[in-house]
Amino acid sequence: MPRLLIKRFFRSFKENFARHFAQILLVFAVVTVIVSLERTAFTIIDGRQNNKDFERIEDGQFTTLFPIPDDEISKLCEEYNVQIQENFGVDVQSENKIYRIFRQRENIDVQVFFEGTLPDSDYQAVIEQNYAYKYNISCGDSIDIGDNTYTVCGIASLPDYVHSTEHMNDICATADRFLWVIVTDSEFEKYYCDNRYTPEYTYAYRLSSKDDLVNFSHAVYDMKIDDSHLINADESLREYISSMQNGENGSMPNVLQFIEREDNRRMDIELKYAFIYKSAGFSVGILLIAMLAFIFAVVTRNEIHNDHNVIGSLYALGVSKRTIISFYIFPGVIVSFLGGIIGLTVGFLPEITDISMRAFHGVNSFPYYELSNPLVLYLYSLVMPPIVNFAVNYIVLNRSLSHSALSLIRGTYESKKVFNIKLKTNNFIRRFKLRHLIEERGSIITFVCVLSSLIILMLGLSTNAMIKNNVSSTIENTNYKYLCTLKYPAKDLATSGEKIFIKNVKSEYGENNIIFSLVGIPENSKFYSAKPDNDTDSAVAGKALASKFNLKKGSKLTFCEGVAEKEFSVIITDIVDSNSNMELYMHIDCVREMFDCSSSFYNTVLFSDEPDIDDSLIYSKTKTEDILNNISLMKRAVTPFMWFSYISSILIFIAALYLIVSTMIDSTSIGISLIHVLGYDHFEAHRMYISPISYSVIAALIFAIPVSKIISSGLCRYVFSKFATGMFFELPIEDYVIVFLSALAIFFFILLLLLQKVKRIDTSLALKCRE
Amino acid sequence: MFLTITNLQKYYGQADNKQLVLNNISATVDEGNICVIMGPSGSGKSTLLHCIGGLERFDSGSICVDSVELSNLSDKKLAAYRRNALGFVFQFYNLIPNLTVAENVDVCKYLAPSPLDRDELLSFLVLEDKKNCFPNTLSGGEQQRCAIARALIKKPKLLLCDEPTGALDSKTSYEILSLIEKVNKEYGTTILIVTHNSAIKPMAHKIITIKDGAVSESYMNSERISACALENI
Repeated sequence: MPRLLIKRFFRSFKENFARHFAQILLVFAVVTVIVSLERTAFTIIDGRQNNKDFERIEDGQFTTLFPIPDDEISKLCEEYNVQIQENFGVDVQSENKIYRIFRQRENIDVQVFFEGTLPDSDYQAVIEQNYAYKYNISCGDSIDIGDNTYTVCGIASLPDYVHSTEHMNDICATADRFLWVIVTDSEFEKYYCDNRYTPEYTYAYRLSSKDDLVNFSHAVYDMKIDDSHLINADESLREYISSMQNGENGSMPNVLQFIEREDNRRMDIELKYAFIYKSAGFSVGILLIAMLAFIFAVVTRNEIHNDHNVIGSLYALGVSKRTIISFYIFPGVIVSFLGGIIGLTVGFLPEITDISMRAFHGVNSFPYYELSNPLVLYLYSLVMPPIVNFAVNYIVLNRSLSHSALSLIRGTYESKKVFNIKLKTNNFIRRFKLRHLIEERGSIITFVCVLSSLIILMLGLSTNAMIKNNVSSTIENTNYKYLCTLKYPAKDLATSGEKIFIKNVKSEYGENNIIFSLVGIPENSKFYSAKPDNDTDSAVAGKALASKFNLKKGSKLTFCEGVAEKEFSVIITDIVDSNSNMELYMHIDCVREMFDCSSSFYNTVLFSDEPDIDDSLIYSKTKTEDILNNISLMKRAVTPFMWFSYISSILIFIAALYLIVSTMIDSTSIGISLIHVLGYDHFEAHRMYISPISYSVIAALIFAIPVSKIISSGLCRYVFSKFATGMFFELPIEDYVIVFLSALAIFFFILLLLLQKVKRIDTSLALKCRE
Repeated sequence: MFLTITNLQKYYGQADNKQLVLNNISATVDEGNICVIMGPSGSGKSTLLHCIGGLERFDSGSICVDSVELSNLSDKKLAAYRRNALGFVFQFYNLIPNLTVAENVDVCKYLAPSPLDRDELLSFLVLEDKKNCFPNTLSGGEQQRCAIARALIKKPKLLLCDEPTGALDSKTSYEILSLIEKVNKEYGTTILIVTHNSAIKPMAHKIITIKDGAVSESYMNSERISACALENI
């Protein structure tokens, strides 16, 4: 019997080449995409695991206002059995670019080279890989940083700068204008001691046990402020230190930030996405293959309906249902297997994996790991499609074959339930069309197919909408021109700007923590429309934050800062328009009170024009364009995903609709033939049988478009759960109209192709089946 | 007796709408005989054949084929009975379109523990030249011969033919009937032919006529003539 099945498959393949080819193409497309994505995910996960002894990634980091004395560091290390490394960085601005200068890492967050080595001399530097890729820089080329010229001796990545952003809260890596550079220790000292630059005193730590974290963080927070180790303190800093030592600036601690590795937005982003791709990819792949299997099964079921008398005769001869079902399932299983083999082969091509790997590397900076070849992907590609196909086909076809031999021979097996709906129209053709539409089972299958492909399309459109909406909300709602974060808030800063207090806080979002800005604003703020009460229990949420956390008026939001155990809860009193940044607004005095700062404390100044404060006081200056640039970079990061969704959805839509409409036409062929026998012409037959198919597709589109939008928005929320940005997925009405009209155009094109088939139906078919 | 039918009753429909289609039918057929069941359309002859073939259940009475009582058999056992003891030939040949003649026959070859030699059978049915042809390239007579080969390959004890010549012209019909007779002689297969074509009567060992669901006539044909001679009558 297996020999017969194989022979039958090859003949069936030849006879229905277009159909089987479309089926193979669909399975191939799904498997290729899933395999390349999954292989990328496995490569990253395995690569990170294999590299862990070399990279020695931090458990967290903290940033201080002043460097901690060496003896304090030793004491901390000894007492809490922790390893601490200075990852000090000095920002040098040159030609609109920011170069963050580091010395080489030895124990924690060790650099991994793509090419080259560490610098041997003070004229050499190692640069970040994404920047090198973007500007086509390789070893031996030179870069200018300020007045100095360096020869690039290495291109590398750093585990704490995977998401290589200037500020930790930046949404997207900014390889266009920011890069880190590693120079020799002696060269680093020059920058470190230069009064023009203010170093960022960041320490990376590795704990022996996670249990020590809380005590260790308390010890770090409790350290006394001491400026004795400041090498390059300018006048404003000295003034600030003096005010703090005199208690004028409240009890502001030395620690600016203390975070764990999982809260560090610069770290592990590629790993987090790899895990999402790994789990979501597998499930989406199985769903897509099951959907395809369902379409194949519907086509096969139609074949069974056509062969009912043959099947009945074979039953009468004693052939078992198992044998018959294997006859019909086998082609689908083989087609899935072939699609799987080709998909696996193509998906494993380094060039294909490189496309998805490049999508990761385009926005993240991490080593090029050796490509993984996980066994599970071979099983997934070669075993899953045939098994899913078998299972789905078995479920769908089993019923069609579970009839008695006699009923199949007679063709009386189909006891289709007739909906006795009273139709008001007296026009026969119109009544017939309506009845046909109501009775057409294909309508439900069409809806399922249209819905599935539209969900994939809507994922891309929703992503695009999110970016567009974030751009427009940023343009509309960013009322300041400059947002300047101060290095050291001076006591009496004479400025025309609006003084605010911004604090990064975090809140749980599913399994992750999302960091957002708690913005302390004065009453009657010039730049924010929020009017928060002077009350530590209430706050106003920006639209972006509200959309992320599904906040409404009266909702409760709980958040905390750093690893501190202290939690804050506020009731949302209002939701206001905001830019794409996630912001929670409170009265500035309340924020000061919550974080034990003096009544005059602030750390940020907003300007509607050029800042009127000394540049040396400014730690970072954010322009509206920077926010927009951030969003456009995010768009670049998700563009491959959007194109994948557009192309795959269109392919699935075309193939699925072709198969379904073709099946619907096949199932009506005897009816059409009979209508011709009764004297109806082609045009009337077309109106009676083909128009209902068009109506069912139109109806499927009308229902599927909004349903797919709702589902895809939910999926997008999950996919972008780690992005700290507004979740605005609303599409303009024109987009829905375009989707509807495009889908309709594709359908009518398919119908035009298939009408050739209808034209070939003549009276002979009905006459042949007269028995 | 190879086949014994006793007081067979069969109804269609339920409750108030019950219709008696087989009314107290009793008949016997000897092993190795050809029995023709005749009657006008709607008389119940096909229903009787289906009951004997285990394709339909009956309401009362009994059918005993080669000492197997069908009324007691479960669906599974009925399927096994069809598999082991029966061959079916239908009016419309019902061959699998994308399998060749030889492969269509092979579909049933796997069902029997010791099937006939396929090539010998095809040669016997004058199909050896057509064994690699697909059904749509064959004439009606050739397709029916292929259907007979498919039914015979598993060496059935009882061959049930439902209007085997119904879709054929008279010349081809006689060819098929000759072949059925040849099968009967060569393999000793008991054959039941349901037909409304009275011209077949002379080739049968026994003729049963059914009218309105009941046996109106049943007799042994003492003046039986060969099927190949029928054409000349």
